[in-house]
Amino acid sequence: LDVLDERNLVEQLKRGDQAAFKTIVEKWQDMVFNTVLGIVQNAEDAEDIAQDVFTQVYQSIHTFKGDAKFSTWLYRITGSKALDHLRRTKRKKRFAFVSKLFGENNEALVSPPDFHHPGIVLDNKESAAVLFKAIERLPHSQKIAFTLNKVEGLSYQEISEIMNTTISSVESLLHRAKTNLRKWLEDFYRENG
Amino acid sequence: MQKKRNIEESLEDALNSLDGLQKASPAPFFFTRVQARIQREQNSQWSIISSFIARPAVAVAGISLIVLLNIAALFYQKEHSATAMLTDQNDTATTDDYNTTVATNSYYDENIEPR
Repeated sequence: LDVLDERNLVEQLKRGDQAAFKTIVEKWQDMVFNTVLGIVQNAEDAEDIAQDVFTQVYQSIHTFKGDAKFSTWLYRITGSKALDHLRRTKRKKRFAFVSKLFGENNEALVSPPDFHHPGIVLDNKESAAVLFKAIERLPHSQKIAFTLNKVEGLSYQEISEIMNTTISSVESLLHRAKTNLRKWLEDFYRENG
Repeated sequence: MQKKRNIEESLEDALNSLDGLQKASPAPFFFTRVQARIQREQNSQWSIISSFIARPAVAVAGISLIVLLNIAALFYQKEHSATAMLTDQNDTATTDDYNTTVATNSYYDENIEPR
């Protein structure tokens, strides 16, 4: 789809055209799902969040002014929904931990199983699982930038537009993310190697 | 030394493990599920609104408010029309005064003897 087609689709959706909405969902569902999956690392949650993203697109398309590309707007919604989910999960985990400390919750706190992205080349499966475990520990902005770059394959320019920042900030974010990952991976392999 | 090299190798493998990654897709019929979700959310919004309105306390409060507003409007209208009548009467009185003055003037005018 070129920019003109994109604009037409958006205009049609603003008029409530269901066919336009279907085209939009089918065109961008992989992009949204894949990004969310890279961030939340759980297929069920990713499906739920992806549905939520398109529901918001349908309900708030009139707020899209066309200043940025539609895909950029969509990536922003996707990132923000995925981060909301991570914050909620973190809160729940903290609450469960505190409840356990006070003896209100006797269930054992189990850590989630290793995440295996379905698009990973078979040979890299184990290494990728370790990497995803490390990505989980990154601060949110580094996580978003790294996922968009490595999982979605976006350029620094595209990431800077999505994150509303400069290219040099993206470079810096990615540099810090890689430094952190390198340090954690090194620790991991030293302990488990 | 060998261990360090192994660690370095594993680390590089992990960092490059996302190369050649294929994009993941949601399960089939994703659009149908999105549509169902939108429908569900719209229904739930209406059901929230209607169940809120149907609550006895809200319904009674709403009806009472309407009745009170009607009574207030009635009183306001009554008071307003009474004030309007008074104003009309005052206006008439002023006109009468004016007429009297005019009449008095004309009386004096009429009684002025020609020199």
